[in-house]
Amino acid sequence: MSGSQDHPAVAQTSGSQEVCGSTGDAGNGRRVSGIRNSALHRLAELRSVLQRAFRLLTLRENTLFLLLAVIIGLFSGLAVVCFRISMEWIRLWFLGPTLYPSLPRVVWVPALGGLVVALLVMLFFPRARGSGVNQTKEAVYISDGYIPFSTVIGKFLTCSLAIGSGHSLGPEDPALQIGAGLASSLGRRMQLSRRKVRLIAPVGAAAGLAAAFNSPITAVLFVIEEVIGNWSAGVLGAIVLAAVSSVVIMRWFLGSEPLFRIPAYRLVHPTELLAYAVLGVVGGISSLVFVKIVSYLRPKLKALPRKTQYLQPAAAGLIIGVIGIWLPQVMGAGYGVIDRAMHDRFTWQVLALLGAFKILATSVSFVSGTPGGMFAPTLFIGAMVGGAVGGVERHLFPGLTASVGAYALVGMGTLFAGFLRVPMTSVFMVLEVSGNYAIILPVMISNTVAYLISRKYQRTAIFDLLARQDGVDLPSMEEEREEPGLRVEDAMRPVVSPVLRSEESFADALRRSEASTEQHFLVNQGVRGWSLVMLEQLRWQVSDGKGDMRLESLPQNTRLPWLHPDQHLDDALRRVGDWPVLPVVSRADFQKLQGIVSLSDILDAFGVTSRKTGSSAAHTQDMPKDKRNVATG
Amino acid sequence: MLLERQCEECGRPILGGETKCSECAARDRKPGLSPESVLVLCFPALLLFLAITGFVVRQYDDRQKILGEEWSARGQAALREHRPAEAIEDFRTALAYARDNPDYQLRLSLALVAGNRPDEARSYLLSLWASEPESGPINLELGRLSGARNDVLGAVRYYHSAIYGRWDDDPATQRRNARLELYQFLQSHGAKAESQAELMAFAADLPADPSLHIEAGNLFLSANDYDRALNEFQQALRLGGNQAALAGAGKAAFLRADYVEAQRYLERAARTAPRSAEAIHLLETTNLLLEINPFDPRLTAEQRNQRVVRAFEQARTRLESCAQERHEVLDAEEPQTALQALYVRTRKLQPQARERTLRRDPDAVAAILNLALEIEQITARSCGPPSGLDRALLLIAEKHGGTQS
Repeated sequence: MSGSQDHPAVAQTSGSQEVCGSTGDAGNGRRVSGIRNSALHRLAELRSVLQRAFRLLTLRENTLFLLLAVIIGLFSGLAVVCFRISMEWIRLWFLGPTLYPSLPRVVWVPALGGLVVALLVMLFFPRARGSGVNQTKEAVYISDGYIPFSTVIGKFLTCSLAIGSGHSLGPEDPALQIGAGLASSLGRRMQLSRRKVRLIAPVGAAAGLAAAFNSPITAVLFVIEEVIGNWSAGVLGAIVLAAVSSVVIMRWFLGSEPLFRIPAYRLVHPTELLAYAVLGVVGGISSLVFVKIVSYLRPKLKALPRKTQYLQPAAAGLIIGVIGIWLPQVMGAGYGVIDRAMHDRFTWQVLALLGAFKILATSVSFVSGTPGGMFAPTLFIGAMVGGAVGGVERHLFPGLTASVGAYALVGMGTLFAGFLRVPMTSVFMVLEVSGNYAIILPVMISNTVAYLISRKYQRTAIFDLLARQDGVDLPSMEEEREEPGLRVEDAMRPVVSPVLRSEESFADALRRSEASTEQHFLVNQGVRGWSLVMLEQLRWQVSDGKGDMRLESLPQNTRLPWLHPDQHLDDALRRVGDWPVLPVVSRADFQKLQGIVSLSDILDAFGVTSRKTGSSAAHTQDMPKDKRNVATG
Repeated sequence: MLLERQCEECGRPILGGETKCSECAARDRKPGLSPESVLVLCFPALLLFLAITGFVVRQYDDRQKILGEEWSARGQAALREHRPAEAIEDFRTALAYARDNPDYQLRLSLALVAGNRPDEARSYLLSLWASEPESGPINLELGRLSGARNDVLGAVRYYHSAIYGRWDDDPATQRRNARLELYQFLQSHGAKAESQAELMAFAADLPADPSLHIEAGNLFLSANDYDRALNEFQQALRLGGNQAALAGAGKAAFLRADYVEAQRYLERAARTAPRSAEAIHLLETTNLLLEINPFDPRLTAEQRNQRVVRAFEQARTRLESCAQERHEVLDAEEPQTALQALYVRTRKLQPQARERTLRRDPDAVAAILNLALEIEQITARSCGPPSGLDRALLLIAEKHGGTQS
């Protein structure tokens, strides 16, 4: 709006003046001009106010990220609710409403389901293959968090069909990928930066997993432990928000009952912990067997001609159907069976059989390329193995007070730790699912034993193994956790050159410095910290006749960043920048110098010897001009 | 997932099925809505998704409910037709659709009990009990299972919880039945005092229903608590009780040796139901007893002596017939059996067992009467329970303690 013609107030004023006709043309012109200016001024003010208001409404990316996390949680929760219901509907339609389906259905439905799933995967949704965990990691680490929305659709359809038709797979990992896919799509639509899009996929993954598991803590921990591998505060908040929102939605629609009804548990005598250690051993061995079968069969089947991939899920379905003739409990995710195992509904012999055949059925389903998750089968196998071990132990030692259900519960966590190799998540998963803190000691003992056995005899964790079989080198969170990180103390060297004081004169400082072979000298500025001065600078100052002046009188005498010995060397690398050396000081007293570190020292510590220049002087030449003059921060 | 190709534009590795990497694809894409617009659009999209999910969930829940009810009905039918194995599977299937439905769980546990799988039933019931410790039916079933395991203390605890627990249908009757079951359980385990206490509690809580009071009276009779039994039958009569109450009252009075009262009730009972064999038989015995009872305080000395003499004669005849039945010779020189010893004493007192003698020697009355009652007791043990007048005399002997140890 620029001219007065556009402004009704101005137009109205002009009209009234014409009616009155009491002033001359010049006067009228001045008055009109004044009114117009005043109106324009008001308009400009209004515009400014509106712009400020709009700026307030425009969210900063960090705030937007958190809001988006909640929205992703809600969408993921809804998607997972629909996913679970679609699986149930498919099971009802194809396998019938009976607990144990009729023989023809048991044999043929998984096979036919596998055939349809294979067609969908091969022809329409190639990215829907696999469990979903590695695919999400691939998206994060390779594709900048990019997961096409078609993958969400594909995962939803193929996994519903596979699990609903009786394949021995679980819905959790697919839910994780569905959540990640939704998050990725939404993040891209929101035009988030590449870094944020890469972070938003794990946020969605946590939301999907939390809804599928009805356990927000487990989901958050799993995503941190297995997908992103760190506890960055920014992403942690978003992950927690997303997980909580999705669980709220899930509980709203499907009720707040946990996946399994947990039997009461109380540790009566500490010696009973030995029984759980035995469970840890058996669980560890079972995990190993499971991993070995999967890792052996998967590349073999993948190596077969591509056209066989159309039939592999059907063949797997047929095998599961044959197992299902005698043990229909192994079909599908098996939550109901886990629930029954936890309430002493099976003898230990049946539990052992179910555990063994579930390993077989799940391995066959998974290696055939049928989309579906490993979480639920792992819990199933763990519960059965735990229950069987508990049954045998109770038979041999009737004095044991814990129920078979308690062993089944601990067994779930044990397999989780041994097979998926997520020790923290496995402990918290059992705690969260049971809501009983008393179970923590048995869980910790059993899980640790199983984890150690699994690690001893299977160096690579299952998800890393699967990724490497696929030719993808995803970061191994387990290996990263165990890699000893280099610290500043590994690179720092003792201070041999004199440490100058800011109150010293240039002449004194030069005298002391010239005795040293170093070119750079740290200046202790007392409470103001540390700065750096070059020998050449001292010489200039003295030759300019400023020998009596103090070091603190140097222009642009800014502080030098310092390091502590326990800091990661990565931090040192980031901070060293163009500085020739940095002081390493005590955390208790930053004036207490413990050593110095230079870029070459850091590179030496990292083992990058080829770039070693041997002296900081070379860096000095590369220093920007302003930094060459003085030590600046 | 294998890395199969590279981005056409930037050469970065990409996954199969794609031609460009995500970044290049995003760059090529036409500029879409602003983030604010997408954010605003998220809310109607969420509402729509919520509505769709709500609809789907409702459909699913309805279907689950219907399936649960169908399978439960099938299970109940199978249970009624004594096919517990089928019933168990049906209820399990019902529970697959309504995992926490306590009715289905209770029915499943009943089916498991019927299928002789008490341990599984107990396990289910204990799970149920953990969530509903106040439930009457669950406690009752647990009481029964504990009883079957001979866990008396556990059974009593669960029965009591059932009695004081929550019942949805007709709680008073259910509680009464539970207490009655507890009483019977305690009786069968020989816990007489405890069972008596339960029976008294049962009787104390009865509504104004004559049939219930008759039932309580009969239970008191079986527990040998004749006073309370008579009280219950009288209560039943006051409430309009019929022949059963009269017969019960007569029997209770008879057993507490109140023969006059017994005769009164039994006569009415016999009149009301002339074909009631038990009442008529009891009435006959009562009549005989009242006819021969020498302890009746209303008798004169002469009448009493007559009855004593008659009792003596009757006992002697009984002794002889019993000895004959056992092929014993009573007239042995050296008495070796109890019957022979009694016979010796009978012969010794025989001369005094005359009305005239007794009138002169009142001290002999007791000796003769005691011997007669002793004969009835010993012959009852040797030759079985007597009938008619002998039974009347035996009852008199039992009531008055007799002389024979």
